[in-house]
Amino acid sequence: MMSDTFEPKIVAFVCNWCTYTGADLAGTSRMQYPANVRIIKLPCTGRISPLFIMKALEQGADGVLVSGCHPGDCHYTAGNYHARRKYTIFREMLHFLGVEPERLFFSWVSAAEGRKWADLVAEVTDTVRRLGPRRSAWGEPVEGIAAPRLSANPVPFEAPAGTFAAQAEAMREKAKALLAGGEVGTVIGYEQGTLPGTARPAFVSTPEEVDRLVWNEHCHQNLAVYAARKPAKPGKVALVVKPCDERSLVGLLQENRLAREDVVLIGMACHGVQSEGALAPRCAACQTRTPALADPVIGEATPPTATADPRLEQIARIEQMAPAERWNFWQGHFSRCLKCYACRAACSLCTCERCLAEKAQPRWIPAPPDGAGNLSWHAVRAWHLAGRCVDCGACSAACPADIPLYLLNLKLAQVVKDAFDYEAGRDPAAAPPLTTYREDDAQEFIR
Amino acid sequence: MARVGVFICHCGENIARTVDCARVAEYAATLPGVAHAVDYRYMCSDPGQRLIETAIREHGLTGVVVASCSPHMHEVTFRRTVARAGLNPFLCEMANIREQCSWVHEDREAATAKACELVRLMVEKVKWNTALEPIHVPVTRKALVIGGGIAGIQAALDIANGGREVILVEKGPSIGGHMAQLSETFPTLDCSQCIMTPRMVEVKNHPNITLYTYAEVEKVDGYIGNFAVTIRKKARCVDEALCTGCGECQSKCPQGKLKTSVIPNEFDLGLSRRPAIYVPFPQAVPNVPVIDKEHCRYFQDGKCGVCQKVCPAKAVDFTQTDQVVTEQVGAIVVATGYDVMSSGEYGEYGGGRYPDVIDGLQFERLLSASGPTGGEVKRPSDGKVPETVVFIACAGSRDRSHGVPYCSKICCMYTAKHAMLYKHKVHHGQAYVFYMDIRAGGKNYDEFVRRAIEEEGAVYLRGRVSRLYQKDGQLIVKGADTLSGQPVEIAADLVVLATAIQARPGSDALAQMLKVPYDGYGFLSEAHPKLRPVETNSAGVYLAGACQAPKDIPETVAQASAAASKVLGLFSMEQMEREPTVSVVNERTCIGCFDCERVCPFGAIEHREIRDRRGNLLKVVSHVNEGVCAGCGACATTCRSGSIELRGYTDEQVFAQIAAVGV
Amino acid sequence: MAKALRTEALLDFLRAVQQDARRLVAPVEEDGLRLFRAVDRVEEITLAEGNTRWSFKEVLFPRSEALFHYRLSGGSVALQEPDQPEGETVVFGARPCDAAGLAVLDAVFAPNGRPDPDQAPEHEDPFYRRRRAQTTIIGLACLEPGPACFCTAVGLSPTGTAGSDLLLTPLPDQGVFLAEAVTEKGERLLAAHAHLFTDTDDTKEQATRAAEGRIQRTALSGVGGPLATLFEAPPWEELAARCLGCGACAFVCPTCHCFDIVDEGNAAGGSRCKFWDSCGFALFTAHTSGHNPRATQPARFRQRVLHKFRYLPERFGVQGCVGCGRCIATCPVNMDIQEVVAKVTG
Repeated sequence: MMSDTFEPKIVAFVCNWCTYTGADLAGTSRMQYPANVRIIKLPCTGRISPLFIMKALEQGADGVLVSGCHPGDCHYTAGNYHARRKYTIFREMLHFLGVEPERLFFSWVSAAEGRKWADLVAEVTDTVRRLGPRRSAWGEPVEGIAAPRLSANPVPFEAPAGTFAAQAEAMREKAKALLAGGEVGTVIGYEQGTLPGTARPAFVSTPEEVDRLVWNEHCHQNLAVYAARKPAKPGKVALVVKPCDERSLVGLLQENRLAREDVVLIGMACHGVQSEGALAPRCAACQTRTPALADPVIGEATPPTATADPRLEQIARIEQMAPAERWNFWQGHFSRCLKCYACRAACSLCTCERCLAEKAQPRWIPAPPDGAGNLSWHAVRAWHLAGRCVDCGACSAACPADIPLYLLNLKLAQVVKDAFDYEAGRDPAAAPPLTTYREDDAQEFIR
Repeated sequence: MARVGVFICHCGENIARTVDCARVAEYAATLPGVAHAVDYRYMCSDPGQRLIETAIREHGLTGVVVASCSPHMHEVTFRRTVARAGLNPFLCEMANIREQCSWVHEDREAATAKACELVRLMVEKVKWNTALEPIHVPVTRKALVIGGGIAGIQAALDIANGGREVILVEKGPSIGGHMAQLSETFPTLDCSQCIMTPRMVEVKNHPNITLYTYAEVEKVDGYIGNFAVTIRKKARCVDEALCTGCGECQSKCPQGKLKTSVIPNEFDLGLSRRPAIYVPFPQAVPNVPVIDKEHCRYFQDGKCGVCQKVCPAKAVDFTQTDQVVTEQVGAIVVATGYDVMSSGEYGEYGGGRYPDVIDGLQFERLLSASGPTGGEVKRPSDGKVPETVVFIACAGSRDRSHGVPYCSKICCMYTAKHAMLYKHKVHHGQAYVFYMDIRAGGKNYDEFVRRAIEEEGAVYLRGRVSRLYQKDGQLIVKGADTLSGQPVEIAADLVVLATAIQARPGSDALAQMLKVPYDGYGFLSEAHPKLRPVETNSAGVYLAGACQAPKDIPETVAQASAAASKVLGLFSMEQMEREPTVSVVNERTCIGCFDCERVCPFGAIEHREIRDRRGNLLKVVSHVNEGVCAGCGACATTCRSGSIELRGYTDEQVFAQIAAVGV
Repeated sequence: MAKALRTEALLDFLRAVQQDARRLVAPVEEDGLRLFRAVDRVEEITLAEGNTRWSFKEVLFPRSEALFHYRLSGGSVALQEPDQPEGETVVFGARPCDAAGLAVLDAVFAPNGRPDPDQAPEHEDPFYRRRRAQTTIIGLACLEPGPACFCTAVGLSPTGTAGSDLLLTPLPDQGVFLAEAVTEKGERLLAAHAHLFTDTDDTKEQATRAAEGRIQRTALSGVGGPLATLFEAPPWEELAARCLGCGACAFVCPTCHCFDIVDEGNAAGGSRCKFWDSCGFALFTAHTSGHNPRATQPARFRQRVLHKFRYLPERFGVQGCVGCGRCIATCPVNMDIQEVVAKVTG
């Protein structure tokens, strides 16, 4: 454009009332700053979706700046508070995916801070110019850097002898009673799968069919996925739930997907489930072993076998990688994604009738299962579950490409816990963390 | 297929000096969907606007991009231009190539290239713009005024005189506010109560005004033109309809024997005492007493009941309870006023410790003929007439250590007035004024201050007081006169602190209830500091007086009248038009999780039932009340399924711009 | 007479093949799962028994490809051909079930077989046809079919030659792969590397019997027949109650071939992309009006079953399911097509 040096393209999303006006003030005050920033004006930071940041990166922006009113000054009273929470999580997610954090900028610039705007643009431009062009296009691996592989040490599965059988018997008793008494029309539980060492969801509607139901370490699916669906048979539905599955029902209650009285919960005290012949990693240190909402709780839980969640170590290892390695780690996994959406279909909290991935006008996520399409899909999926995911493991278990989706979900759950002291699936009366705010939410990443 | 017209303005030399406008126009003509591109010297001039109108007609344009100054400057202008040519005004967008380009870049190449890109962004956006029609909302032509000080009284009277009904709600037992407490007012020195009381009576007698005193607004629902307001009328324990205001009750109240009473009189800021059943001041409106239950013996231990026995009208009713009323109004004027920082918060000047260190409002009461001393200046400690008085301006104001970096604006003037009135009452007395700057902007204001200094002999010392202590029944004030560079020490009989003007406690809660932004000090924010000074961002809510920022009486009255005129303007229509840039829900894809409702700052999200033809409930979805929606778009960002769009800032429009950056 | 390749000479053979072709695609291990990938070094190839997670069909029918690119300027649109397909490709390690599945892709995308790429009828898919012509399939017979496998139930065999150009059957006891040239391409391949192959009298009969004997699943009798009348009859609602509606079954399937087309781009230009789609998705048949003829998941599952077992045989004369068992093993809720067909036809 001007010379041979790299001239970055920087997209700035700014609110109309503070930063846009501040930028105007910089103009009326004739403050000089670099010409690399393209402002996109929106009414409020509340309207500046974090996904716009992703879209800008997808479209090749070298840097992205988001700026709005200082806390307390929002023209709409609270848009910036809500936005701040969203950016807190989204930013961490992008970092975890290997986006260079130095390319993303957040600031509060008031209508009176023309100087601040001019200085900010100069600093942002300088920073991005020094970083140079993006290392790779959105969803494409960085060349010349191998995708690191992670391995995990399987934890052997051990359940106290006889516990499953006794629980199964009590569960069937309860199911029969519910059906015989007409209290429910359908019981959704587990039955033997057609492959050795598997179980699968089963819908039974007569006491006689109940004998098909099983309960064992293979019952890993989260049956809450059927909770918000209309049953084929008339009457209420009873669900056989593990404690983690039950947490997703809390989310459904918070989001008005069903009412507590619409469903009967047969709660199973938990001993963990199996995954590939070993204890599922998420079960190793799980503290939620006994259902809290369920109508009956069947059996006694066994305590967790590990003190630390083995997956946290994996997360730590990912965080130790250089951003480019982290990026390639994820691109390596996402490159296998077929966009079969099994992760979404198996998720009990993905209840949208029309997923954003299927919104064609405009298209938020490139439709094809290619680099950009897969990365955007997985980013949106994880983002939409931030503060909502209850770590039931259904998405990872469903993925035919073995993408470790749980790592993303778990990372975001950690961020939410650290930033907002919130755990999903605990309190049906709690406001979901991305629909509320505190005036003193941390904001050290905002300049 | 889009047919976009692009109009590049030179703004004289303002843009053209650093941006090659002809080249931008040339470039714009190559963009997909651009049917016409031209540059012109002054696009906002009459011929410039005609150029646009003609081009719309001749080229059959479906969208217009004006590349010129900030949309904050001329968006309205160009939208009107476009509308005159028969195009929907919302099909016009502006590319800001002045404030955000030509004025901030010197390199002509770089600025021209950036201008091209800014134009491209807006061309892409405008292709996705849709025609928007104004929203019509019915208007309930009745106003609520919150606060019965001079601001509220003025606003209420103006609206009522304009022929519309007003509900005036005052928290205290009487209207009048701070102005009723003042002695005389600057710069004319007319008696505050003399000009105030007739207005108070006018309020009481006005057929269009319903007055609720001793009442508070508890809840505000609805939106511009259609508010539902819940008001709590606290129990006075005196029947307003029966009471004749004879005053028998308060004269007989055992708590009220002046010598023995322990109840500080709020109206006199604690400089006097009052009975438990009382009228705050003799000219109170309504002239109906109220029982202070905290101090009333009947309410505390069930004994007494004297007032009930002596009341000839049988108006005292201990069983009265709070009443909650709901009123429908179309507009709300907030006139909740201010508080002065208590001198007790200024410990370093002995405030709260030395009885003869008082604040400015207390001094007003000492000067007032209706005050505790009958208008004689006597100091609180021993009733002695002070012969030396030190006034300290900016006590709290412009002082970050007291959390008040702003100027309280009225103190310079009232301190001059105090010095002057003191001299009028104590001819041999000497007034000293410590000040930082004298801010006397206003009609006859500076002359007034000069008069205090030159004619009334007040000694003005520029500097801060460094130390203040008691010695031998006097207050020793140490400071420096920074003009002469000399240290100063004054032995004073009385010290008056011009303490800071602060927002009312609870103004933040009120602001939240009204969904009006407020600043870090609790002052309510106007919609625009220059161009919309009495409106707020909560449509239909207007500001009057010191609830917005410190103000003197003339300013307050002017703003109150301005607020009233805004209300009357709104009430001139049975229906009102609103900007159509509001959110809209795709009911087909909405699943009714109502996260949008949780983030909406305006309560604009309603629940709508979707039923089939037989009336069976299919689902409950979100619905945006267009009258309430302010267009912030937080709902659209929060909706996971992308089922909410903010008109004017749709995802399509934003994406088009993002994509245009990357091209 | 059959040919034999010594077990230890396999990599030499593959290395030689790789030098001739532009691309060698074969099963490799990646993050704990087995996939077909273009390999740089033949040592990366895994010969483990069992199936890859999904078939090699994307070599011929990529999960995503550009049909053309476009640039917009002023009022004009400039079109640009996409890059040429990948060129000469050899797929090694195709299981007989996957190879047999090519018959379905051929029937749909290149119904005239594999004629001269430039002389095909209009409705053929030129991208598929070109890739198909440039691809050689080296099949690898199964000795140990897995618990989900049921190729014999649909009339195929773990050592079947259908679809392969050259089939290698491991005969561990003899220390060789039995090599059968099935097509001219296979013949050419053998001829080109004749020095690695020796004549042999060995046969695969015993291996076939042993492998077929491992398949536990019952034969699906009268496939195509009884299903013809079962559109409304079987309790699809019950059979598919647990189906979650993802596309995993279709995407791992060697014969599923549905695709969607969208334009991906911005104001300056973009690409028209074709990519895999699945009848399991609710949107697959959704109309713009909002109407959806397959409104429920059971209706969509029924489509999958009937498409494979009735419509494809009826309309194209090909077997729609090759019994690879991938959909059964992949399905998050164990929707089992073999079990369902056995139930509704039996």
